[in-house]
Amino acid sequence: MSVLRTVGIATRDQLRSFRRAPVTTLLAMLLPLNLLLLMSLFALTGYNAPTGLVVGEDTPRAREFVRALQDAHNSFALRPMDAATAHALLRRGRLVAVIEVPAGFDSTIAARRAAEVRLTVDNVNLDMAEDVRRAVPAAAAIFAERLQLRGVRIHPELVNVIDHETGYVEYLGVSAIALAAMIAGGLLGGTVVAREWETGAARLLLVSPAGAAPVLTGRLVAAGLVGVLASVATALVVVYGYHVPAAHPLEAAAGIVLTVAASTTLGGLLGALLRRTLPITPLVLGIGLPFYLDSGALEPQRFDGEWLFRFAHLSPAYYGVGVMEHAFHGLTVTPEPVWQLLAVLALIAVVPLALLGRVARR
Amino acid sequence: MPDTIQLTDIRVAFGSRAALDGLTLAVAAGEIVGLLGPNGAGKTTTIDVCCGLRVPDAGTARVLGADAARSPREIRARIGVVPQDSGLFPELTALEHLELAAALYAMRRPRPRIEEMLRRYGLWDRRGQVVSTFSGGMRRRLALARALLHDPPVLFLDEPTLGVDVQGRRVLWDHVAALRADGRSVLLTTNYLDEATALCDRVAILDHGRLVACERPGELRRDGGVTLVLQCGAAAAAVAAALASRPDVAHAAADDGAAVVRLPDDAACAAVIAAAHAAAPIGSVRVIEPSLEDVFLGLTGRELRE
Repeated sequence: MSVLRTVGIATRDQLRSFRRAPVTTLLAMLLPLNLLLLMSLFALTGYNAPTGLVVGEDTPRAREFVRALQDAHNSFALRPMDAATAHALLRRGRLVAVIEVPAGFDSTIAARRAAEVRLTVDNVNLDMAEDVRRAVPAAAAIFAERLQLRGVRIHPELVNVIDHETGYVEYLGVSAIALAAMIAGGLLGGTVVAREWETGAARLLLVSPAGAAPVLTGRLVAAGLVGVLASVATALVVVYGYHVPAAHPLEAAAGIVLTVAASTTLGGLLGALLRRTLPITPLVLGIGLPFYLDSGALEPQRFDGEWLFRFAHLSPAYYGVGVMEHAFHGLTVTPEPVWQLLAVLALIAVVPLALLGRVARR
Repeated sequence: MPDTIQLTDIRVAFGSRAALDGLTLAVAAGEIVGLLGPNGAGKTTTIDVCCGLRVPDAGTARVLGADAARSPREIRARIGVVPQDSGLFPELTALEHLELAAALYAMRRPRPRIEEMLRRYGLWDRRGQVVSTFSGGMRRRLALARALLHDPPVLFLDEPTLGVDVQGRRVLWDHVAALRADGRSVLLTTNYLDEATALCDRVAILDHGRLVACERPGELRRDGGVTLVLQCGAAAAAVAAALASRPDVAHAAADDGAAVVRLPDDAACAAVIAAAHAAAPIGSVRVIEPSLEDVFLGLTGRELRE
């Protein structure tokens, strides 16, 4: 009985501790919710991918074929538009594919001749491209069955936007370099800055003529160097382990350095705000992973809805993944050109540094 | 001696709670002033105001002639601070800590000064060892060496011997006392009353953010009055009764063959002893001065402040 009583009191006390240490408890409660967010983002990145639909005529069979397309593959959100707009959006990376039902489709089917449906795919990676390619034959089969058109022939005319295929593992592996850069930078940056307050050293920095900013900057430079080492190690595994050579090595190096720099200074700002090392790791992981999934790491930025696309722009991961995919595979997965991605990363690296001194004096 | 630290009617509030409530205090050059007070009395806030880390809601804090709130940059190069928790990194060496401090104060060719400070504070032989291997006393000495590296005329020490063993405290006291000889002004906070007695030229007692006393330790004790123990055997009750009615006696009672008489002012001692002799033969007289702790408790009360 005495053991049970001890267990009971320990349980009660621990529950009280949870209630009285709200930051830790809140983090523990938010992280499971975060996993739900992660899974949702994981699904959203490959779900309802926007696909341009260009229908050359408004006829019963053309409408039936569109319905068949809608029912054939739930991965696509069909967006009716004209051909010029559709191809422009495809080139800018805002559409996964363009499906064009030609004028004369109805009469061709009625005449039991083979109808040509043109399918232009942004084959940025093999996984996504294959999903799209499978959709048109599936739709054709549904269409034929619904209209009792035995022997109807619809030829998907495949046009790939990119002249080479990129395997899914290779695509993901490259994005993982950006993830490594973001997590390593965020963790190290946050920890080295928060430690200044935990050790009491921040007070000394603040009363020195130099102020806190130079020392905090120095600490962040060191954190950034270690973050770069961690990211380079990840990159070497991708290059030599996954056999994915960088098409543009200098661009890859710049992408790694700037993604680490941006994440390190953001982490540093978080450390200066929280002033405790304990919440840094769960927060960086809790914030970093959803941003990573939303960054085009699994698929490029072609989500259903603008808010996810805009949300992605808040994180260094979006810019880092964009640079890495271009540096390694020559892929353009963001509407912004690579120089612009690098410039934004550089800007993200500098802005928190400028704020750090002010936040430290708070 | 001119005042190097001048606090005039300083008021600082944290929400509805007054951390400092009209504090006026001055520290002269070459003077060590101790700030005493229960927890939350406003000791660390006073140091923060002096260093320009906290802008007071009202009043002025001048350090070496400069306004700490308006011109904190002006004073920073000329003050040294030892914070309560030392601000040391366990994985860095003593030498590395002083090198960073030298950089923070833009010292040119700091090596000789670093060596001088490490030797003065008995850390030269351990200069290459990481702080995690240091005792509490060594850490405090390193923090003091770092605060003095740029040779500041004004020093703020926040609980300089907290968590240090007796021997370590005595060594630190010697080092702090030596600062007075160097002509430096020191404002230190402490909860150790023996430390305040041993080190401080004046002791300022804070309570609820107000200055309730500021005098030399001896004067503070004297202000607390004295207690006379008059051995007079069976006549103790009669002597106590005879003295209790005197206006210069606060309290008198018989206790185990002695009349125990408390006087608010030690100047009345001779007259009270003479009156006792007139009432009955007195065997012996013992004069008990209050300790600083008695005075402190008398001024701030016995109520816990945690």
